[in-house]
Amino acid sequence: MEILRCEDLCKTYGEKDTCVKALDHVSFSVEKGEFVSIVGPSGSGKSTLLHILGGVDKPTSGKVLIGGTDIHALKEDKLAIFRRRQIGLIYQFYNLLPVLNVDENIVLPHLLDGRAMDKERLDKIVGEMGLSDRRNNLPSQLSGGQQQRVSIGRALFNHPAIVLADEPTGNLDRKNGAEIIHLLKESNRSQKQTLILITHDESIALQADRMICMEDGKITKDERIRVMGGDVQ
Amino acid sequence: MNIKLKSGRLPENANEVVLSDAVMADGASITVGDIIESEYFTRSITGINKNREDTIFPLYNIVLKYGETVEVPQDFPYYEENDSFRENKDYSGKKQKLTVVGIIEAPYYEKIASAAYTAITMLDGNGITAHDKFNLSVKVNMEKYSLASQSAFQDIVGEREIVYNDYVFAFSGKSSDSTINILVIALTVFFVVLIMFVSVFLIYNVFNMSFDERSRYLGMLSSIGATGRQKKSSIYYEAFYLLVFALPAGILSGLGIVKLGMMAIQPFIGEMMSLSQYIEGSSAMLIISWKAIVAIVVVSTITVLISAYFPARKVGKIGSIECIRGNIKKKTKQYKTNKSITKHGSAEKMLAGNTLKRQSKKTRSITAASVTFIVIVIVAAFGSSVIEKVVEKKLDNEDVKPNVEKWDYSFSMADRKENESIRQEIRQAEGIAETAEWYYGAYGATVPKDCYSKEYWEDVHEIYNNYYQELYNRKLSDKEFNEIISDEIHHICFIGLDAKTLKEVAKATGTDIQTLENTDQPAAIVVQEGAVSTDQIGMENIKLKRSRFYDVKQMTDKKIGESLPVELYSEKEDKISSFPIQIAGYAVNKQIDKFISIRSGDLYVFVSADIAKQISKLTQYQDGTSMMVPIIYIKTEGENVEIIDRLQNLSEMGREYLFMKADYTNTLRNAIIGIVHVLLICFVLLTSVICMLNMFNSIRSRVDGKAREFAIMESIGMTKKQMAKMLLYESVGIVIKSILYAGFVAFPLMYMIQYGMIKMFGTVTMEFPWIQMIVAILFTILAVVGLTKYSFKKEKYENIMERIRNENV
Repeated sequence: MEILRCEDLCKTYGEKDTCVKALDHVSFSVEKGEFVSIVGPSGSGKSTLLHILGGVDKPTSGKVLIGGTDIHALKEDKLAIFRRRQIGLIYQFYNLLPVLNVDENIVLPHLLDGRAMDKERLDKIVGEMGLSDRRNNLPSQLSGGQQQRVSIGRALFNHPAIVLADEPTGNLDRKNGAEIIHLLKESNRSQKQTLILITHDESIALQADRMICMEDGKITKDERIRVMGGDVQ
Repeated sequence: MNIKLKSGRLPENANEVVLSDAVMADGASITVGDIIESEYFTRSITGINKNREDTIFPLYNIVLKYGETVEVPQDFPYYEENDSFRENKDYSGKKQKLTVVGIIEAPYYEKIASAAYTAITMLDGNGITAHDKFNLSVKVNMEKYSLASQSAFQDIVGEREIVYNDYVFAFSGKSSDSTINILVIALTVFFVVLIMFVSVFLIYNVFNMSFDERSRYLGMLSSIGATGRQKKSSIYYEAFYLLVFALPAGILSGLGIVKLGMMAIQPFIGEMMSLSQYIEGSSAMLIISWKAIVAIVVVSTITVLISAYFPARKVGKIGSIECIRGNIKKKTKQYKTNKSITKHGSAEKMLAGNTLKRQSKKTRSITAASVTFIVIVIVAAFGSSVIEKVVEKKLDNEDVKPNVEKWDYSFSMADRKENESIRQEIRQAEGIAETAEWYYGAYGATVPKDCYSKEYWEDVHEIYNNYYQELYNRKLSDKEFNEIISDEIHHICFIGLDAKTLKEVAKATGTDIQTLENTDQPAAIVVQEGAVSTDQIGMENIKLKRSRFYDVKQMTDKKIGESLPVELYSEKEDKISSFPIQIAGYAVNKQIDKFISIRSGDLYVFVSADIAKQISKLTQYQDGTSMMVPIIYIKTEGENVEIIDRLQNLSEMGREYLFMKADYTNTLRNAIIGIVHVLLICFVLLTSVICMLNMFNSIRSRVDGKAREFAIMESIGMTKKQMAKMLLYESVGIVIKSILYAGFVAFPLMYMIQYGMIKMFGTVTMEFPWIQMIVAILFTILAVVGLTKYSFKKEKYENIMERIRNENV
């Protein structure tokens, strides 16, 4: 079942002589529960693509349909509501709120939706992320790996339709990086959580069901590595 | 001389003259350059009607009999030929040709009904003989003038009288009254210290803010080898350049603002200080003294250096990595989640609350600006009311003051039948809007000592203590005090009200009107508020260095229904009559200030007009008048009411009459209070603008600084509405915090002011400035919420990712 489809996405920065095409007519779709890795050299447009998919950046032209909804046709506030319910974003630099502790950062999208805190789910996520002894710490009191786990917890808390991770291990050492990928894969497998992940690391990219290669804003290769959740083809 | 030249010039010798334009208004055709001949005479009138016993001029206190000749004053009106009297002119024989060199506006002292006009010539020193009498006005150099100058002047003039213009001297703290001088100096110090404190605080705030903003930049500098000293120097250089440009700009704009302010208030200054008849046109000048400029430069430099010192010290101490990472003071404390907020799903409340609790430093500058603003308004209002009270105490020598809004003038006269015709005339005169006829009676009635309260006697004891301290360096024992006061006569003063006013006063004080109107059983309303001071109670001609005032809240401890055993003395019969008066109610000034306010060292009571008449009969003097003096309060329909001039003349001529402007006690008082108010308003406006700019700066940079956080919030699904709501919660939190801090600062400050004033001037009851406090708080709420909303709206929110990335670079 198709969960995401993008059609003819273009994104340009600047004008005339300084015009840079970050995305050049990109189209693809993703099935529900699929784990897709996007790889490519710096400046190939992969982060731009991910941000447009996540609704935090706007395409110059083209459409992004998530669960059939054209997200860029939504008004600002509607799009924000859509993001907190359907999209989980994970950034390279974690982007946690400095005034909130671990629990509060994780539960924030849920509270933004006006819902009371789901204590059971919070305990489960905090446990899964290995943050049980850090629940009352502020982000500044955590290591990079711990901050990224909080960021993942926040992205997963609302059971989003799709999780988008922008180089989640780019700022971490190998051990912490491996743990983060393990957590994401675990969530993808156990929850059938659709996951799109950007990485520079080929070994991580190869753990996905499908790998999309990008260069100069275009998809140069879209390769299925394994059947969804299965073995390498 | 308070004259205004309309054309020509002022006289330069004794043969030149300026004339009032009333001459031309009344039909004469005289122009500048004309020569007029003057003859000198005295005016008198002679009774010519055999059939008329007396020709009475009540307003001039003249009773003219047939054949009698009476000299009349200069402003006695010109009457046409009539059957009652003849006007005589007794020429001195002296004639003089005078050249009209100028025309002046009719001066305020030229009476409308007067038969003469004002002509002013110049008195040149050559013609003066030793027997001539004249007034000499001397203008002193205020910079060199001191109180020591007064004795030097007195040495020059010997026994002749010197009248000092305390209106002018008071504003420089050089008047002949030491209390006023201390007050003016205290006022100056108060405002200068307050403005310096505010400036240091706010400039420090700005430096601190800019330090927070640039911590990463400073860290970079540090990482490439800048020493702590160099970093400190960068702050000092910044402060120096700030001074180089800001100081001249500040001085020029300050002078400009003062000039504009002066121009704006110039037309109202006379009215504001109740001196409109003396102040005309552009009498105030902006004088720039080099001493003042040097003082501004020195004070500003000190202020800026102090403000820069603390951030500079902080900058010098911090390390590079902490700066770059932005965790100069890394928190180690753990923060628990507020269950009640998360339970109810309010993300906005949680974010706002945690920001205020966990990032209090970032809101500190906004809180500081808000606290400063609230404190300034409260303290300035309190300080001004304290000064107002002290000025009032010191300068209001009158026990009884009519409400100047309700009445324009008062006219009192001896209680004689003949004076009924004047009362009648006043009532029926043109231009009179309203009158009220009361009775006043003071110092002819006594009560026992115990009619005065314990509080009253304690305050009087304190007054004596002040004198004893000065004389014998000790306080007066209770025994000594009781001996002193046992010899004293304890007065009671009466105010007999007309029926209408009595009813209103009874209603305002909750007193039974029937009890008051009962003529068989005299009853009264007792005024409970009073005051005693060293100005009223003296001892052995000792002049204390400073006046002391004591407010009395309860003048009598006697209860309603109890009787005051009043004794009335009749000089005519040399007899003391017992006249017990029942207390029907109590009054405080708030209840009666619509008509009158009373703050006296004597017990005052209100009685009905009928009771006043009874008292009048029992307190007659030898000449047929009595202690009870009829007084008419007058409200006119406008200016230039003829009878007012005549009443004034009558008052000047006869000692049985007293005509006064209702606000006559207000002149110097209003002048000083007016200046205090102008200073206060300017001060509060100025500091408010500084605080508002500071607040705006703080809020703007805070909202700017939160751009990344806003972007993160948006990226995880927070709507603009939710952000605005979160900011509103934050603003409310900041305001609540500011109010609490302001309370902690303002209350001790007010206590200190009050304590200082009590130490200096005595027990002066001061009111808490509730209204100003509420206004300041409302204004702070509006400013913080409004400026936050404005700053949030001004933020550009086009691309979430760009904002997140910008901060990462």
